[in-house]
Amino acid sequence: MSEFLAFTIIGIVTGAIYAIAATGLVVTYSTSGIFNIAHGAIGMLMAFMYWELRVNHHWPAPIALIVVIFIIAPALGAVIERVLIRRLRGASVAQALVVTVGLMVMLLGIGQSIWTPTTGRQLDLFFGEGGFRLLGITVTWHDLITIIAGVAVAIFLWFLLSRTRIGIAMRAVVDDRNLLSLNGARPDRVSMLSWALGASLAALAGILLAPVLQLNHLVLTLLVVNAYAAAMVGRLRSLPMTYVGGLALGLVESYAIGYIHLQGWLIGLRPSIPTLFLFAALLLLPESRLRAARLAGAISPRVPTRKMSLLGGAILIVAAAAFSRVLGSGDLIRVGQGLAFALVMLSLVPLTGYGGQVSLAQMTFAGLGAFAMAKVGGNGNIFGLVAAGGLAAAVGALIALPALRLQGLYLALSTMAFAVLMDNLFFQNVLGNLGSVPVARLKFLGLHFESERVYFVLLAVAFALLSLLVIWVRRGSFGRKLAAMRDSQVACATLGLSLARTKLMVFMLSAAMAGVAGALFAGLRGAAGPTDFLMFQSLPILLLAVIGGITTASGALIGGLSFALLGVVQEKIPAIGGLTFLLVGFGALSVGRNPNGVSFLISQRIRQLLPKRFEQPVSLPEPVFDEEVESVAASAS
Amino acid sequence: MPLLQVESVGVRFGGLLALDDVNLTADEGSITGLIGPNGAGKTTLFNVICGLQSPTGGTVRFDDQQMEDEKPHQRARKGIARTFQRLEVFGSLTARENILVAAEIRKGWSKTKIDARAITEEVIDTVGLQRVADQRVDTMPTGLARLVELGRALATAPRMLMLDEASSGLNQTETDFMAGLLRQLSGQGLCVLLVEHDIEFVMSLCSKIHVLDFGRLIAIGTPKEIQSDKAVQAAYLGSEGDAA
Repeated sequence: MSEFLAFTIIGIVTGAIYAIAATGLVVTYSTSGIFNIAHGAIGMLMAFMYWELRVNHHWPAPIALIVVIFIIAPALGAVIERVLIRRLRGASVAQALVVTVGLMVMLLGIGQSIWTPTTGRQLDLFFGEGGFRLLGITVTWHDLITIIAGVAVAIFLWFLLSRTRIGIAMRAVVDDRNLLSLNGARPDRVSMLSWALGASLAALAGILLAPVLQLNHLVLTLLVVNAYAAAMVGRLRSLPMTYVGGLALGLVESYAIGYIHLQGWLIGLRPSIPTLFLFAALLLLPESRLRAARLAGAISPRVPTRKMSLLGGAILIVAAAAFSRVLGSGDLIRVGQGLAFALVMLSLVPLTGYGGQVSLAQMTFAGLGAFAMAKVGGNGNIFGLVAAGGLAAAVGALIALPALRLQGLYLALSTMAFAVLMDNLFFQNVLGNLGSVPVARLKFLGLHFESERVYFVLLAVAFALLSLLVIWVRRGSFGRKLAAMRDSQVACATLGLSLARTKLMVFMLSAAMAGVAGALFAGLRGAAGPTDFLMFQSLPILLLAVIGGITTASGALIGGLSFALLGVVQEKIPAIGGLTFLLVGFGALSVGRNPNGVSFLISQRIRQLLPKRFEQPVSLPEPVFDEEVESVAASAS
Repeated sequence: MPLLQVESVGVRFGGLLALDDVNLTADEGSITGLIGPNGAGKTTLFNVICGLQSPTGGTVRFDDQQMEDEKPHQRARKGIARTFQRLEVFGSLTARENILVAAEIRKGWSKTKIDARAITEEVIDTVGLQRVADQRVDTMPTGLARLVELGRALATAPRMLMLDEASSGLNQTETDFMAGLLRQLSGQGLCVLLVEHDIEFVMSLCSKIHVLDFGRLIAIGTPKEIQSDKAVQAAYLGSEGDAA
């Protein structure tokens, strides 16, 4: 009985922390419509800030707490809202997600630059290990403080949202932003306040969690997974249900650790409980209602003609062949990795660029591909590549299915949770705990791509072929459906298109491509290790693909090569390791302004520089309906 | 039997009763109008019929089949097509591609073999978009974009076409063209259901009109009957007391 009580108290304590973090997430999401993937990263940064003041500068705990939770965190939240979030109004789910993923990576970069991960740091429990006895078990003061903080936050939020003018405005901004401003309130200020409040709650959760878990950048950043698992119970709307979700998750986790004695590879199941909880919550969510909400028409790049794409592919292969002659073995591997990353990024072009769906697990699918290649393609067998695509597509379908009937945001969150699950449960076990498994380089039709030089050209050929495939898809019926789905889901549905099926198909295509890319990537390295395909590696993949240009194959190539270049910089100058994260994050923040990325800017510039006679004929007819435009404008005024 | 039968439909948004016990029928080969002041619940009723909004009560029957469990895309496959008051065009595609994608979607679920490209060209001719067919839709004025939406709906070969504010944003020439087109389509057997603000447009086109006010059906009748209906006049002009 006392054991059960002990686990219950542990569950309530962690549940209270999850609830605090989750309510912060719900408050920001419900007032701004932007899901903050960086919520855990804010908590992480603030926990480190607290450590800095409390441990490094020996400030008294109450003062350090007040400064971090009530001054620094809200200021950070307000700045994020002012600089980033406000600009995202009317943006697509994909665009908003990419920006907050960028923010997460940037905050992680800042955290790792200031507090280097190689140095061990520790935050002690409040009042140390001391506590009191309750029904035969010891409850630490830290536990009690956490539970009190949880209750205090609940009461504070209830009072704020139902009894104060600003709180009622916060609820109103969700219902109708424009109507609220017509009634004299200032929605921007309300939104800023909610982000400040959200950051404070993230900070509180981070500070309470760090002594219990670990003062670690990645562990605390992943708090967001637990928080949104809890928030999903409240459907990202209801605060009381979010609290219930947080407590339920804390208790489930505690009882599971206490009573289910996992052995062997199932040990990885423990840290995966929030993910499993999230999937269960997703399955129970009712299907989301389609809403008529047309996005502001962003300029999308022209789809290249067949001739242009063939020419582009040929140029890439010739260039790769030429470079393979001049580059040394080490450089061939480095640039080859860039091409392999470009292949993974290319898998995002149909999914995110054309279809408007986001995956935060592309490296996980690449890892599955590498695993299949290691198992099936032992001697460089081509079937290894087929198995890589097939396995990734099949697993992708399983992951996507529960989230497909919901909005795009849920699919992205599911992929992130799935990636964390695979980090804990799969890769460590099948790709060796510390070592790695060998992966053979491809051999088919009597050709053996054993040497670095030849394998490098093979990667370029693979990129060219898959680019042609992607462009062929875009030019065809399925590609048009994807573009239509991105522009208006509601219109697609009322034309008879099954959105879930279309999303499933594009998700499987994307996962299969990532799987093939992973198999080729592992072949280049000759091995696949347990840390090669972590969730945190999928984030820069997505961000650099977007910065390069998620709507084009050339964007993926730019993104992949940049990623390799950043790796080289990090390798040569380890001191600025964190800065590369910062750079990637910062680049992604520009997505709010230019969703088509660098490749689009370059192609525009080239078009401007080209003499007129080389330009492609403009396919648009002259505006023959000028008089109609005028009459419509006149009637509108 | 009418193609569409809406019976006792109610929709509640929190404390607001958006639709209250609404009945409506529409027949093949005729144009049925649905009018009412702003906020009367016209678009909500459209959303209920095509499955975008679940009613809190009542039933929708199409071709004598219950639609309750059918999702929007399944209803579309049964022959319900619609346009939107706030345009829902595929802005990054050209007018031709907008219609082609609709024909291709139909090809995906149609039981008969169809030629999507041939249908597209046919529809472009029908709605008169030949000159701007290769123009991106987000660069088009509203009137043309409405025609694209109409064309897109027609490409699915619907049995019932629901038009939400079809004449909004159209100039007189375009409105006349739209009216002629709708007559032609209903003459071919199509059931047309029209939500409209332009009373003249409705009166000239519809054989039967339903009037909604504050979510309640206040009148059903021919254009003539509706014009002389006291409740309708009060709804549009305010009650006598208000007018005074």
